[in-house]
Amino acid sequence: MHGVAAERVQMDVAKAARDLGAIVGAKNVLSDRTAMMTYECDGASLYKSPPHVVVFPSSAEEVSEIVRYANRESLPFIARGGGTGLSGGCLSSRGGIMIALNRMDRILDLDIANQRAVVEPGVVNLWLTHAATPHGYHYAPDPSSQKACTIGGNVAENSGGPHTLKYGVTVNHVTGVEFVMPDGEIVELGGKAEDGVGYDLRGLVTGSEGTLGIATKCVVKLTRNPQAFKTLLAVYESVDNASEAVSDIIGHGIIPAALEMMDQLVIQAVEGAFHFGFPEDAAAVLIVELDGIQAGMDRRAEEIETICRSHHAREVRIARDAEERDALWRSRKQAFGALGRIGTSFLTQDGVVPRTRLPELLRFVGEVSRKYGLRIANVFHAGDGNIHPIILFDERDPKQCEDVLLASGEILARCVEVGGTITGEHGVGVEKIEFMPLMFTPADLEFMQNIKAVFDPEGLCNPDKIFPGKVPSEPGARTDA
Amino acid sequence: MLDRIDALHSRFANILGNEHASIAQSGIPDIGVLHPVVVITPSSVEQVSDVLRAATDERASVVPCGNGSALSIGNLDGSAEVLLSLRELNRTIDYESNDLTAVAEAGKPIAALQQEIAPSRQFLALDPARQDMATVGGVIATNDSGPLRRMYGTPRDLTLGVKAVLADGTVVKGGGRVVKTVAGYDTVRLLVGSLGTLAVVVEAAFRLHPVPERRAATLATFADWASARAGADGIVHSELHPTFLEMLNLGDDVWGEYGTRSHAPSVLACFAGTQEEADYQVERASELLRGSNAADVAQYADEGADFWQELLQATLSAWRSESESVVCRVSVPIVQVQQAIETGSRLAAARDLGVQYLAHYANGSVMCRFRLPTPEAASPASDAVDSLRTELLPVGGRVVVENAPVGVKRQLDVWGPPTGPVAWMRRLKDRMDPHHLLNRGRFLPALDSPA
Repeated sequence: MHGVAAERVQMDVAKAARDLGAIVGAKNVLSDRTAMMTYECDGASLYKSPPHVVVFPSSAEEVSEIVRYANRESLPFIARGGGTGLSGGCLSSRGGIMIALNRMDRILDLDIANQRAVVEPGVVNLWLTHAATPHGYHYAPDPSSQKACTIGGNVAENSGGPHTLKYGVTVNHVTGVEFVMPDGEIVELGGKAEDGVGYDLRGLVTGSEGTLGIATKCVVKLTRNPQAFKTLLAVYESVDNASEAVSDIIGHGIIPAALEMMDQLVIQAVEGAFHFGFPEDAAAVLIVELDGIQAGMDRRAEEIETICRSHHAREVRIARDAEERDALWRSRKQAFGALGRIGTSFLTQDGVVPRTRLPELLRFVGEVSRKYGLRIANVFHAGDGNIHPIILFDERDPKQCEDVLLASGEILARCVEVGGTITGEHGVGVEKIEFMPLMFTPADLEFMQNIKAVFDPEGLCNPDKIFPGKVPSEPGARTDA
Repeated sequence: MLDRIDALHSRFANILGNEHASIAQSGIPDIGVLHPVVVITPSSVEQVSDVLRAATDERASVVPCGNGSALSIGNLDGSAEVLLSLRELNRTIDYESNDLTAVAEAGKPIAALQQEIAPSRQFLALDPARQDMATVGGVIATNDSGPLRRMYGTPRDLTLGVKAVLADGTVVKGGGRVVKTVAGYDTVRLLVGSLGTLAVVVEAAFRLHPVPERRAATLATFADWASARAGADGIVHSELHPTFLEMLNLGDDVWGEYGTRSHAPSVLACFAGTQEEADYQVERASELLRGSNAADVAQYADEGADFWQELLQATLSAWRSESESVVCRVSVPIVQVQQAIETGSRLAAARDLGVQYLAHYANGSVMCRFRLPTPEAASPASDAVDSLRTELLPVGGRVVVENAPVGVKRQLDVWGPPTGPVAWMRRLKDRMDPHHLLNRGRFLPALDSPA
């Protein structure tokens, strides 16, 4: 296993399965070795480590009891939703108990009047939008994996997606969570109202990658569907021109609903899989979507078209109707899947750079690709400056497995150098731990790890994620009061 | 006490020089400190770190402060010994107009930052009370927001990264300077709104927005709150995207002279964007409001719309500092806004208090101002706040007092019940500020009460 230096815990699996079966029912516990292989990794498949036992609770109380059991037995526990994460965030690095939340998949309350939904963590992202659609609403965060990823997982990772450029990421849409703390206590953080009183623990646990506890209910905002859409496809002969157009659109003070880029490798893979009609000879395409009020949208679209053409777009197409728009987004969101057709494995990176630095960063990605002789495909949220270089490699070739990590490291280091970050929406997980010191000083990291130490002093809740090294020990409590 | 203050003064003067450390004989009356305090004005992050290390050494309790425009927020804290002014940390560190981001030091007034970015037709979409005085650090400490939160969110949503100094002098940062990052815990969200009780924020990076091409507003008055609510609700559930949507009854000394009907429940909606977008929306909103039996509806474009926005700002600013009222921020689910207002009115009437509202309707955030007949009439006001809390708690409502005469504050906890487990908040406080030196006693009482 790459990147994780953790020893597997010793445990009596048969006993644990019996004990956990007493909490959730024997049929809701899995422990045979073959079944464990399903749970050995998430979407970051370079990192593998199966749990000893998988348990499927159906309520917050059951989750709490499982957590209390894990504490009594000193066993690590890891929550898992759809398993679509891209950084190894739900890797059971030491084995232990995996708490699969897939049975907690009910939409408990679709409260249109308050523009809120209360859902269990195992609800798949897209189900919520489907449920809200008849009322003219949707759930705005739309990760590409939205057909499979869960709201609980989105909350853990603070997931993004193409339309977060205009609508914000998951944390901007969560007003409350019911949360099982690492000691098993069930707490309410926030609710349907927007303003909290006290420290913003709801904001703090969102994006904490399952290391501060387990969300058992999520209260999220529902967003009114836009009156109109306009989706443009701009075709480029060079990646440079396409990325300069991106900076220029933002620089003009235009914030579209989405602003995505795909390079040639992705265009070809996507076209091979879905036959949308992307020009396979193009070096890059931009997908620019406007949404909102119909009035004035045509003029805005013309401005964007003019900017695109001023950066030498060879063609700018506009989606004819809703059907064509849907087909376009379907292709875009399944780009990762389509790439599976051309390489045996791939590693997706997730750096963010200031939008003005996109052109130079993409040139650098090209250099890294040539240096290591690895093919790198680019499909990403250009409007946010959030790149997703997808490095294709052969998992059976140990040299390539090493190079892919070196190439990743060089790209992320450059992102940080130009003022960016190592991850925009996929999380640190196990995959980017070693890059955290690029962004943060030891003091910064200790500040964050002190939070971990407060929430999870035993270090059993999704261990070995985010932070290099050990959790600091208790510095001593208040002495003067 | 005086020997102690003299000793602290000389210690800080040694670090900062005499011109940056003085003694204020008047204390900090806003927060109930009546004895002299040491006022220190470091001018670099290193100096902030040095003085906090010294404060820890001395176990001196510290009140961090910008221009002091939000000192009214929080419980009374009689124990402060040091006022840490960040006024001299007022540089803009970085402004990349094409990235729509800016980084500024904590003492920078929001208004000054706005002036610097305005030539690029951009703005920071925050509208705290007393924007001319409110600083970057103060807005982050209080998470203060105004009508614009409908469109742009609160400081929690617009702050991309922070640099902060812990009580022991350690300098830490969280977040970043780009519009999206999930590297590490979201310490930005933890620090925003923590009232400077976990660390002293010294620098922040913000997301900026382009100035819209056109603004347009519509103002409608109604016979009662139910009709006003129906009007506002019609806009919330329509295709429209207001920049702000206020449900209010003002018509007092500030508003009366501009011809609003005295104390009539009103809805004020503003729209921005391209000219076509704003014009369409203001027409459609006016139509919706008329359909809810508005008594009259008037429209305003550009400077006309800006005028109303400025008046809202001026009103909220006045409420922050006046001495004969109790101003609360009530937070409820949208459906309960009308209930919050009617409950407030009933409680006020029973106690002979005047009452006015300025509700950021779509956010369920209701600014509620109880007017006292005299500043001494503390008991009816604190009693009204208590009762409002009790009645709204079952529907998930919270009532935070943002400004009140000292006499009222003596009778109540300005925060009320927290929206999360206070025991876990206390553990965080104990860990980050183990000697409880930062803003002791001003935030939730349970954070600092003897363990």
